[in-house]
Amino acid sequence: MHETITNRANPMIDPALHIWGWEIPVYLFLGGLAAGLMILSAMLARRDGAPLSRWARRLPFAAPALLSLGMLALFLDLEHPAHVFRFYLAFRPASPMSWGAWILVAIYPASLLYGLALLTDEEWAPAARAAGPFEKFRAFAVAKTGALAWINAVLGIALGAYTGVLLGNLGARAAWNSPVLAPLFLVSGFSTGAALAMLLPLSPSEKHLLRRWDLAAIGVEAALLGLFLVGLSTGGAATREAAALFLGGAFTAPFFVFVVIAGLGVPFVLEAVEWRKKLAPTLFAPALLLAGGLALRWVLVAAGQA
Amino acid sequence: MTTQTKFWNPYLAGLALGAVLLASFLVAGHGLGASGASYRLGVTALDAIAPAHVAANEYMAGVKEHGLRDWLVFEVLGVFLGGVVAAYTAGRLRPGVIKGAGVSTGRRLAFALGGGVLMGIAARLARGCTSGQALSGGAVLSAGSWIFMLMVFAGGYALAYFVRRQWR
Amino acid sequence: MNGFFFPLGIGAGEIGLVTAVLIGFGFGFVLERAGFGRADKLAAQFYLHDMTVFKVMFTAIVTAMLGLVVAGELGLANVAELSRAIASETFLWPMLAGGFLLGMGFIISGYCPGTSVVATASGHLDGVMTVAGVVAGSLIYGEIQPAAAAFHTSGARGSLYLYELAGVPAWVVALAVTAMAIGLFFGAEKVEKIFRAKRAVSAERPEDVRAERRTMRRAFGTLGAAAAMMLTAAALPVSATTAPAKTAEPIAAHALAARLLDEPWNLRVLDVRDREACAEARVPGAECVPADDLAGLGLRYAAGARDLAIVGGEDESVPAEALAYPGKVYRLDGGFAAWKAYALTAPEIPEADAGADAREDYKLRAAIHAALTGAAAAAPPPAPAQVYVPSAPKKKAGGCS
Repeated sequence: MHETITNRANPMIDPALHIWGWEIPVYLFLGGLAAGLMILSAMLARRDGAPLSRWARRLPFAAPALLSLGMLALFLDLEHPAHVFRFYLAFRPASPMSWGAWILVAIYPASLLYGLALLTDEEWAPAARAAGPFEKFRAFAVAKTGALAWINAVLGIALGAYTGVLLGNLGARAAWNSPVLAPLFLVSGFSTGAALAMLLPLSPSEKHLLRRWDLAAIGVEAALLGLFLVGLSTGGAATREAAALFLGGAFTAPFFVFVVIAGLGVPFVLEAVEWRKKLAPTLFAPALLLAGGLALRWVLVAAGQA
Repeated sequence: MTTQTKFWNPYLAGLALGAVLLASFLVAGHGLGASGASYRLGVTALDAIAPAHVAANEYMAGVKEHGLRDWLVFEVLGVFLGGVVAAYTAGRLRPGVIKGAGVSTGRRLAFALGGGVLMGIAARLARGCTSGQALSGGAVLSAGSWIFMLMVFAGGYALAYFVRRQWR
Repeated sequence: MNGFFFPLGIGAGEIGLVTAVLIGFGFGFVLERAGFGRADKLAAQFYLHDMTVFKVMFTAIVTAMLGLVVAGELGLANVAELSRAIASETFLWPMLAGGFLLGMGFIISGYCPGTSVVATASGHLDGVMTVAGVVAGSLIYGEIQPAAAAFHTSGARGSLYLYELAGVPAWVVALAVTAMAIGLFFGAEKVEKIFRAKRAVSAERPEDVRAERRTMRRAFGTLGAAAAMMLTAAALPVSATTAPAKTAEPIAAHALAARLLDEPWNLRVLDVRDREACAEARVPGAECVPADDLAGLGLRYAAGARDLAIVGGEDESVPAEALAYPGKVYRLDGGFAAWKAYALTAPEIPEADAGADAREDYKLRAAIHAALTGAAAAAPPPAPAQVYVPSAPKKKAGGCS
């Protein structure tokens, strides 16, 4: 006798979960980077003392550029790219995807205006002749520099947290079912943003500040990772199973080796020694941090779908 | 320019290295190694380009069983990280080429590559290099490892006179 | 579990990979701090004015060796099992050739495969080139290995240790190696001093350069001769003691039966008689492979983990193809006839006054016969007459007296 199950294993009833490939981790990583850079450029501008160095002034432009790259990756992942516009036909306060879509839209004008505001008059001069109506935008931006810095910082925090909320909101994936993901991705984005900035020829005092912030961020990130694992392993059966993936299971080596040791531990030691012994900065630490940030998202996205 | 930390006393460095080796024996049940990871890396890369070619070669196909998810590969990753931290904290992390004054940079790099090729072949033939065979096998008194070790010194001394210009 | 640590540690699985990175980190850190990230420091070993390589390497070997011996004595580790996991089997000829080649590569590149990784980590471009070379070289060997397979496995000696060659306990060899190392350390210090002085002088005047060249030549000559002598010494006992391994060891029918019952998984039995005879009756678990078909099994390329037992007919010679097997090779003493007489013929019931050995032997044979022929279990041997034997007084327990 054959028993036919009509109510399960039916894509209309049990939604088949879409498997995410490389696009999503890359999008989350670039989004985090953009968020980190937005917060950092605001923080650097608000500090007292010397004026911003040449590259620090251009930092705000990095955010929309990185975000666009990330959106391109996201776009590749979508099944119906042509339907993206629907996100913008409505705002659903309960949907993080809707929030995210609107945050993304807000970031472009905010960061571009802030970038214009930070440019010196000499830097703006060659563009001014061709700019025409943009001259008005810049005048507006320069007048509101302080407010724009705050807006950028807030939008950066929103974007960084949103990349975590996006995953944490999917209850069907046990490994993502953690409230820690939002602050974790935010801090990781901040840290990778600082790492990327450290690769640029900033002034020594700016690099010094970045390193201090980054060291703190790595510490917080390590604590959040600990909380994440503790939270998973003290939850229900499904989340405990998800925790086991990182504590002896299939993702243990990638997680601890690429994220914890190579992505956090080693760069922390390198930066701490750099700071203490006043050594010339090395590119290894930022490079490892960036790779570690990508690995974190990669491992989490892969483990959540295991 | 920062001041460099001096190298450790060789006997103390040897003691530390022995302690790491012993820890590897007792904790992981593994010897230290290096060339095995290079081989795996090479075969994995080749497999990505020409899978049929690798599958046809029994000796290389064996690597694919767990590919890069291998103890030695991860150990060598650790060697790299440990090297970075040690070099940087000692003020020695600096891009450059190590050579004597009597040889051009291009020649030195060509020698480094050629010597590497020779060692890659030799290490596969001998089932290990100075780390895996001489150091680890030597410490457990494997007969083959000691033969290998003596031959490494023999080969080095035999050729040293002819390549001496590289180092002065 | 073998004592305190896991059988083979936690080297396996995902956790093992994490420990691998941590242990590798220590390895790389120490290598760099010893100066092994610099080619000139490493190459100096071969010009005798800085023998750091030798000193570090031998101190490390002695430390780990003594540590392992102590751990074994304390029951913290199963040294035999660990040694097999750590060291590869010995293949005399490829290891001789590979060692020499690697030494040449070492002095040409200035690195060995491990230290080239540390050099790369220190930012040295020559180290990067060596790493690339090692990858390329091992691939080249991978390409030529099938053609050189015979040489690849030549001189196979299985797992062979110096203490087995010397026929003494491992700790004796360990102490001897330690003593030798200490002696060599003193020698190394002397050699360094001499060659450093020569080097300092030679930089100035041409006649000193010539003198140095003379000394170098003499030193290399002496060292070469010493290396050759050591090699002969190392190679001779190996070939002398292991030459018999090339012939198959005879195994009696009862010993074969016992192994088949106790550990069939460690034994591969090949029946090399013609197919009809083999099909009719064979040792349990035996594969029927007539001598002419043996080549098809590729025994010489097998791992050699299991022992091989060859069952022949009246002709007791073992085919060369079977002897090429890297593991241990037995031949059934007396061929299949001996097996038939032992295992397939019902044993005679021993007399009631037969010794305990004879009774045990009977029990075993009866069990084997019953198991192999399907005959009902044989009659139990008659009970022996009860004789009271007072047990010997127990020896007082040892302790620290």
